[in-house]
Amino acid sequence: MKCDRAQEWFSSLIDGSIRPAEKVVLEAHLTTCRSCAADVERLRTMWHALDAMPQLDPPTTLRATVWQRIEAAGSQAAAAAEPAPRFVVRSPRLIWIRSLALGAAVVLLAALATVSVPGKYRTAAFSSLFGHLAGPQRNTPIVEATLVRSAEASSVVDITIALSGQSHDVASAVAELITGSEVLASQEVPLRSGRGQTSIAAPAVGSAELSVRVVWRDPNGAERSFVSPVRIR
Amino acid sequence: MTELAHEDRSRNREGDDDAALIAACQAGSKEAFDRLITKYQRRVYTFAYRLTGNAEDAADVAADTFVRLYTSLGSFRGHSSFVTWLYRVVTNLYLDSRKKKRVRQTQSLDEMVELEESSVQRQYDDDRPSPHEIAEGNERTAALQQAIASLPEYQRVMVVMYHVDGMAYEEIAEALQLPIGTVKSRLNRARLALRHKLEPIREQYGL
Repeated sequence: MKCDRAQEWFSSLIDGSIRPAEKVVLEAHLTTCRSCAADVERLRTMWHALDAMPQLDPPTTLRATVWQRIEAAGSQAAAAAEPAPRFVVRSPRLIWIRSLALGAAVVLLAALATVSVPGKYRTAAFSSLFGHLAGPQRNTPIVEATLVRSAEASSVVDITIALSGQSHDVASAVAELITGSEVLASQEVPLRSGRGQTSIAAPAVGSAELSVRVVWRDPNGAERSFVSPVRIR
Repeated sequence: MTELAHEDRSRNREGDDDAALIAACQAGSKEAFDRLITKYQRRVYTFAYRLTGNAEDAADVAADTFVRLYTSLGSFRGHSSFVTWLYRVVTNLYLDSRKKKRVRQTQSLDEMVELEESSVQRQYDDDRPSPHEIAEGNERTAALQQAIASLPEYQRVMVVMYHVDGMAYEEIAEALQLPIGTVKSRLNRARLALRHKLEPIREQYGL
C-alpha cells in the first residue's frame, strides 16, 4: 500500500468508521511504515485538541443588536410586507380591562359626536373609530392557553379562542395540545362570533413543553392554524 | 490503538426539541424568538468566531444570522433539522461576508486562488491575537484558531462544524447539501492540511 492511499483512510481509522477490510490493509501498512504510523498518532492528538476547543461567550449586546436590526429591517419593509400572523397571548383580566376601556371610549366618542361634532364630520369621526377597531387587531386571532393545577394534582389546560377578520363567522375550530410535533389530545371547540372556550386534560409534562395549536377552516375553505405556548396560572 | 466512538456526537440533539418553539415563532411570537436567540446565541457566536477569527466579525455574522432566521423562519418546514438549517444560514452569511470583504479589499488574483480546495497558499491571514484566547491564556487554542483560519473556507467550515461544534458527518452533509462521502473525504484532507500547518509548532504546544 502506498502512503498517499493510506492517508485517505486516516480519519476513518480514528473516528471508527473505517470498513473492516480497509482497516486490516491500513494497519498492516502502519506496522511497516513508521512515518504514516507517526502521522496517525499526531493526527489523533490534534483531533483531540480540536475537539477540546472551548465554546465562547457572545457579547452581552448580541440580543439587543439582533432586535435593533430586525426593527430596522422591518420598518424598511413594512409598507411592502403582508401583515404577518400575530399570536397574542393575553390574560383574561387584561382582555376584560381592555374591553372595558374600549367600551368607555366608544361611549365617549359617541357622546362627543352627538353633542359637539358638526354633522359633516360625524361620519368621519365614527369611521375613524371603527376603522381603528377594524385595523390590524381584527385579523389577529387571540388564543390563550393556561395550565391549571387542581388540588388533586391533576392538571387541565384552559383554552380561550377569539378569531377575527374573515374567520369571525367560523362555526368551530379544533384545539390540539401538542408537545414538539406530537399531538397529545385534541378537542373540537364550537365558536360563536369567532369566540369559544374549552379545557383539555394535561399529561404529566412541564408546561414549557406544551403548546396549543388551534386549527380551523376559513370561509374560503383554506386550513389555518395558530400555535401558542401554554402558560402556568 | 484506541478509536473515538463513531458518531458519538450528541451535542446537537437538543435541536430536535425545538419544534414547539419554532412553531410559536412562526406564529409571530417575539417572546419565543427571543428564547430561540438566548438558546442558540452561544453556539452561533462560537461557530462564527471560529470561522472569522475575530470578535467583531463574529458578532456581526451572529447577529445577521438571527435576523435572517427571523425573516425566513416562516419558510422552514422541518424537512431538515433546525440546527443544520441554522448552521447553513451562518455558513452562507459568513461566506457572503468574506466575498464582500474581498471586493472591498480588491485583492489580487493570486490571493483569490486560495478559495480552491487544493490550495493552502495564504497562511495565517486572520492571525490577530483574539481577545478570547488572550483572556483564556490558552496559547494552544490560539495556535489552533490561527491554523484553522488559514484553511480554505469550505475546509474551515467543515473542521469547525465537526470538531468545535460536534456535528456528525450526516449533519454537516445536510447543512452544506453535499454527499456524505464528499464531506468525509474533504474533512480528511482538511485535517491533514491542518496537521501539516501545525507541524512547526507541534512540540511547542503539545499538538
